[in-house]
Amino acid sequence: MHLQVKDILFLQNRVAYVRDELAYKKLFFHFYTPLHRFSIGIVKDYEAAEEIVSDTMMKIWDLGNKLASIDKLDAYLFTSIKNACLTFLSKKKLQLTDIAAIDINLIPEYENPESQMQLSEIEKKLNSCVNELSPQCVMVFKLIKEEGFSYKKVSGILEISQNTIETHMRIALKKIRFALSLYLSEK
Amino acid sequence: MNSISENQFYSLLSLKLSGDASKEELELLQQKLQVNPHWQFLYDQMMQAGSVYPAENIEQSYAAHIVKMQLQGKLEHKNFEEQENNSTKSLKRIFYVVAVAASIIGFSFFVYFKMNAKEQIKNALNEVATKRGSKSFIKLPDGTQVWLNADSKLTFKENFGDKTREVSLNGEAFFDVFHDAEHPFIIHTGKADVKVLGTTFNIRNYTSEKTMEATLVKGKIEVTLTDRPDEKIIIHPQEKIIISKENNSQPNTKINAKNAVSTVDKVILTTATFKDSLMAETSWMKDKMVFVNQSLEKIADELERKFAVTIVFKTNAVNQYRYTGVFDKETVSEIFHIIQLSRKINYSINYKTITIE
Repeated sequence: MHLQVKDILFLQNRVAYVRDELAYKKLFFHFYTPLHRFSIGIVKDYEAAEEIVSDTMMKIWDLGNKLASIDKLDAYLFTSIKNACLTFLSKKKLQLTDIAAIDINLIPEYENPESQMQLSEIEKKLNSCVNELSPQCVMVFKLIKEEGFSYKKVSGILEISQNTIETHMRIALKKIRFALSLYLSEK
Repeated sequence: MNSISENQFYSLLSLKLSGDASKEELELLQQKLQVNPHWQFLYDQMMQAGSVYPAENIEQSYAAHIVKMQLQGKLEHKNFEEQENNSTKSLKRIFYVVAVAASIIGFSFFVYFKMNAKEQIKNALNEVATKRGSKSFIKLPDGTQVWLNADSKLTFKENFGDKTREVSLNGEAFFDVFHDAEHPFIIHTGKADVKVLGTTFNIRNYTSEKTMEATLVKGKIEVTLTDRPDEKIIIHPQEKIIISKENNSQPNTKINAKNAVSTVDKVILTTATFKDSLMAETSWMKDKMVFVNQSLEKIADELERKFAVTIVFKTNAVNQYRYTGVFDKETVSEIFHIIQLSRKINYSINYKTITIE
C-alpha cells in the first residue's frame, strides 16, 4: 500500500472533516514504519519509539480541522517525532544521572534496539554502527538514507543548514564504510 | 586514495540517497564506484531498502494505539475494521438503551424480592426432588450427606440446624448423618419419625407403596410412630423396620424389638436382605438392583422408577411370580430377557412402555 501525495491529502481531509477512522488507519499504516525506524535511531529503544510514534499519531487526530491545513504531512510528522525524541532523550539523561546505579541495566537496551526486527547480519552491523552516531547525525542519515528525503526537506525538519546535513552524512557514511570493511578486507 | 576524494564520494552518495544528485554528479559517482570496491560495497548496502517491518507488528502497534485513544475518550469503543452503516448503528444504539433499561428494572426487582425473601426466609422450604430414572446427591448445611433415589423428594426448612435438624422424605434416600448430639436429626415420613444422632441408614417411603421401611447400616436410630409418640423402637445395624401405612383399627400391642418379626402386622422388625453380600436395601446407591424372592409386581415398580418406563400388566396371573437376582448394568430389555429365562412371561416393549401379557 503505497500512497501518493494526493492520496495522503485526501486521507488528511477525511480525518480532518469527517473524522473517518478508516482513513486514519490508512495514514497510521503508511507512516508507522518510517516514523518508528526514525524514532528508534534517536531514542535507541524499541518500546519508547513505539510510544513516541503513537503519541505523535494521536496528535494528528486531535488536530481536527487543522489537520487539513498541513501541507506536507510527512515533514510535519518527522519534525514532531524528532522533537518528541529529543525531549525523551533529555528526560532520559536526567533520569540517568539521578539513578546512575542502574546504568548497567540500561545498557543492553541500547545495544540492540532493533532486535525485534528481522535483520540480516550486515544490517545488524550497519544498525549498531548507526546507533553509535550522535542523535543529530542519526537523524540526518535516517531521513536521507531510509526515507530518501531531499536536503531541503531534511533541512526543514531538523532546522539545520544543508551544509550541516552534508557534513553529518559524510561522517555517517565514513563510519559505516569502516564498519563494513570487515566484510570485505582480507585479514 | 586521498581523503578529499573519499569525502567527495560520501557527498555524492549522500546526494544520490536524498535524490538531490544532478546528472553529472551521478556519472561522477559511477566512475568512483569503479575505482574502489569498498565504496561499491557501501553503495550497495546503502541502496538497499530499509528494514521491513512485519505487517503483524504494525497491526499490534495499531491495536495498542487504538486502545490508548479509546482510554483517553478520543474514539468510540468499537472495532475499526467494521465500519457499520448508519442503520445498524442506530439499531445498536437502541439495543444498548433497551439492554441497560432492562438490566436496571431487573436489578430493582431482584433487590425487591431479595428484601421480601429475607423476611420469609425462616419458614422457606428447601426442596430437592428427583424424577423417575434419575438420582441425586445432596449435602445438607450440617454436613450430612443424602443420596436421593429416583422419584423422591427431600424437603427441609431454612432454619434447619438451629435447634434440630429436621427433614421430610417422600421416596427413598440413604442418609449419612453427621454426628451432632446437640442437634438431633429427625426424618419425617408421615407415618413415623426417625430420630438419629449420627449414623448411616436407608429410608424408603414411597407414597405409592403400602409400607415405609428403614434399614440401618451402622449406628443407632430411634423410630417413633406418629400416632404413638410415646413408643420408641430402637433399630440396630443391619435391622430393618417395615411400617404399614394402612390404618389398622385394631389396637396394637407393644412392639417387641427382640423378635425379628413383630406380632403386630402394622410394624415389622426384620433384618436387612442380603444377596451376594449386597444389602438389597442400599443396592440402588451402587446402581444395582437386588431382588430377593421379590414379586414381579414390586420388581416392576422398581424398574419403572429406575428406568423411567411404564410397565403395564394385562393379566394378574404373573404379577405374583417371585424372582431372586442381582442386576447391575443391564438395560430394561435385558432384565426382562433374563427374568423370562426362568419365569415364563410374555412381554412386549414399545419405546418406554412395557406390556406384560
